[in-house]
Amino acid sequence: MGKKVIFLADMESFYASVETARNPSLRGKPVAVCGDPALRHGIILAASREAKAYGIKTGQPAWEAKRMCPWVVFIHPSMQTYIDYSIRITRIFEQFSDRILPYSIDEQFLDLTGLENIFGSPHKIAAALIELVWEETGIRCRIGMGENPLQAKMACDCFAKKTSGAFFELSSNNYAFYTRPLPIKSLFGVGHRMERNLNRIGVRTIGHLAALPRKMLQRRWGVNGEVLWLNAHGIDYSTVDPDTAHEQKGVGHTATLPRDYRRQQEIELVLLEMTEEVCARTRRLGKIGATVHLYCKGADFNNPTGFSRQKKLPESTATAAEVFPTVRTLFRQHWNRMPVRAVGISLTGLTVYSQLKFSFGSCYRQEEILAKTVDMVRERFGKTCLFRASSLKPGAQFLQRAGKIGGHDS
Amino acid sequence: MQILLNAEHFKSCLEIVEKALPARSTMPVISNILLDINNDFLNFSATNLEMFIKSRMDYEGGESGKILLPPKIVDIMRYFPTDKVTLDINWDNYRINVSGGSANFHLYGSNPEDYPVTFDITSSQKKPINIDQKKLKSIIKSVVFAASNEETRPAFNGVLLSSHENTFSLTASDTYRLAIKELKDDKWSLDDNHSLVPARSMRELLRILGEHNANILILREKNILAFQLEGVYFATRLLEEKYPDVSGVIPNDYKTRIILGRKDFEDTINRASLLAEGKNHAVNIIVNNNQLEVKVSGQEGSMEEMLPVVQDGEDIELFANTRFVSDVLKIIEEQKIIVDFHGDGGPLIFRIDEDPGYLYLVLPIKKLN
Repeated sequence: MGKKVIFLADMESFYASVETARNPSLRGKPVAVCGDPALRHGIILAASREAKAYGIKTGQPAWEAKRMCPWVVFIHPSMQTYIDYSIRITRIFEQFSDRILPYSIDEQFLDLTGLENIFGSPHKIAAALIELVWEETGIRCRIGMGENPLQAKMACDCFAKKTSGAFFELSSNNYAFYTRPLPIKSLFGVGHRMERNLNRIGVRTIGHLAALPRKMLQRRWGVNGEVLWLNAHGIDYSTVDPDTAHEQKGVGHTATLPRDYRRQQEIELVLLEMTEEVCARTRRLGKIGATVHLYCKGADFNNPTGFSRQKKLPESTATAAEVFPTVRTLFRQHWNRMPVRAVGISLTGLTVYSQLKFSFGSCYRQEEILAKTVDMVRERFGKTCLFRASSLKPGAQFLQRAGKIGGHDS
Repeated sequence: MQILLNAEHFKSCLEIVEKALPARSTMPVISNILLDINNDFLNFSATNLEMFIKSRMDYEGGESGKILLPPKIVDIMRYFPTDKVTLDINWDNYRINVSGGSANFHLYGSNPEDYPVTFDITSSQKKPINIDQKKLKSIIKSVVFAASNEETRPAFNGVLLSSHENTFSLTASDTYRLAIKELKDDKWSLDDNHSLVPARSMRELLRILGEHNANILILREKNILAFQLEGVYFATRLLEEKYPDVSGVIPNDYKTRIILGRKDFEDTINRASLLAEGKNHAVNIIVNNNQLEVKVSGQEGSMEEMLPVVQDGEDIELFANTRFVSDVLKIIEEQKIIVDFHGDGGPLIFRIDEDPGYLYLVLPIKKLN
């Protein structure tokens, strides 16, 4: 079989670039997209090339960015716009290949194997893609190419982003040559913790890791260790298959609270609101879930507390009235009564098959019908037209979050 | 005091009562087996406070006394080397010496003083039911599997025994399915016409009941139901939950009826379940043109199988849980089975031609999109 041609296209400073494209007066200025610091959403989500020159990085608190560059322009996120732009870029890519796998909002894999005869060499295709995206959206895109998704990702992250050509090609022949000297943390799959673990056994570069025996890594870290070894050698057996992206395993929701919550009642109120939200989203997928997962993070940075626990529901469902009792049980069982900074709920084990039940006189389906009706009313008249009265109580987040996507303003 | 016993017989007596030993308990005394020796018998009892089992073996020693045996004794007898076993009990300190051949065990028994005895209703004045053991086994078996193991709604952890006029019936359900067995027999009436028996006890009783034809007495006194058979007394506390009226969910007329070979259907369903996915093992069931089609299509692949059936009524297509279907097919012994369908969201009803008193209802699975 011939070698595959896989691209990973990454949008430079995606959110910031979209903002600049929407508002040309920002061009050339240091732009940072971030939430409202007053409500503790003041984390830099994206920084433009100019802002990065001042040392501003994604994930930094806003005040730190302000100190690095006092004239940085902060912009509120508009998540819906970013989603629209991401879809527009997918449309551009679709002119070249039908095998596209959006990997995140600003990264997409393309499989261009066997298309040389139509569009020319991969280099030409890459140049054309970069050009088209720039022309149609005003966003700079960088492309890494490889014989598999891993090589493409490494080519993009470690090289294409750093060269002026915005394109780089890795292959099984040159993978070792280029990646060996790189620090171990730049290897795909190596996070903060793994970096520390690897440093401890004397591994500081990708070359070091590649030189270790596969068996040893497997003994130490199981399948994960083996995958790292494969990554270090540029081997990846996955393909760019758009179908793999479709099966959604769970629906989840995490939020940092606007202040630390101390009272059980307030926290449970937010949990109820989030359960509602997660259930509504699951219903929108036309599914029900079997397991609920609760995550709670304590407020004290110096003494990190919190828990992450899951429990099987008595039966698969997607109505808050049936999921919430389990959430509340989990919370009451595991909460140590310390202030809470962030909470998350997710519903997993999704299925489209719903086992019917005898009612034996009681009307167990009432809740389901109620939830569906509320969904319909909200769809027609907006999310805030109908909500639980408890969402008017202090601490409630529903009205705050109603206009947001992923916790950021839409 | 020394007793010489038949090891095999001793072991089987212990194994019968072992089923009632609690897995863990806050009351240490009940994790033991009570041995009560009176003039003619050795009586062994165990209880987890929900059920109580007593077994008995003959004994010609003329002495009497009571002691708590540690539960380990059951395992010891399982690995015992000889046909005869000597039990030497010291009544002063409750030490027991179990010996035979090369084996010699010293066990610490305990004082039976605090052992609860609340399950004995043999002195009840009420008239017991007298029934054939084999028959009882088959009727319990035909419904008990449908009872729920989840503890969310305690009533459904029980099997309902009820008598009404000259009908005696057993009902079990976990709200997804419902099994009912009715017997038209006037000698079958309990004084109180509702007894909700824990399904757990019923399952243990099934393991004690033999296949041979012997009589068994059923007694009921207040919240205890007891079964008395040769050498064994089995009693269970009844659940006090209110059982809902289930008659309302049984539809009168079917929309589709099929008759087919039970074994073929069971095999097909079991094969289909290999690919059925998710918690509720859904498979597609289609009836048309005198054929039953069973189909699955999932991430691992798909399968389909056709079975010839005798069809009466309209065509139908729905999803059902393979486990619920195979549960009933594997306990029925008859050759043919009747399945009635009641439209999209209505139950599937399994019937047996030879036994009009038996009904098994399963609700289908709804596919959400």
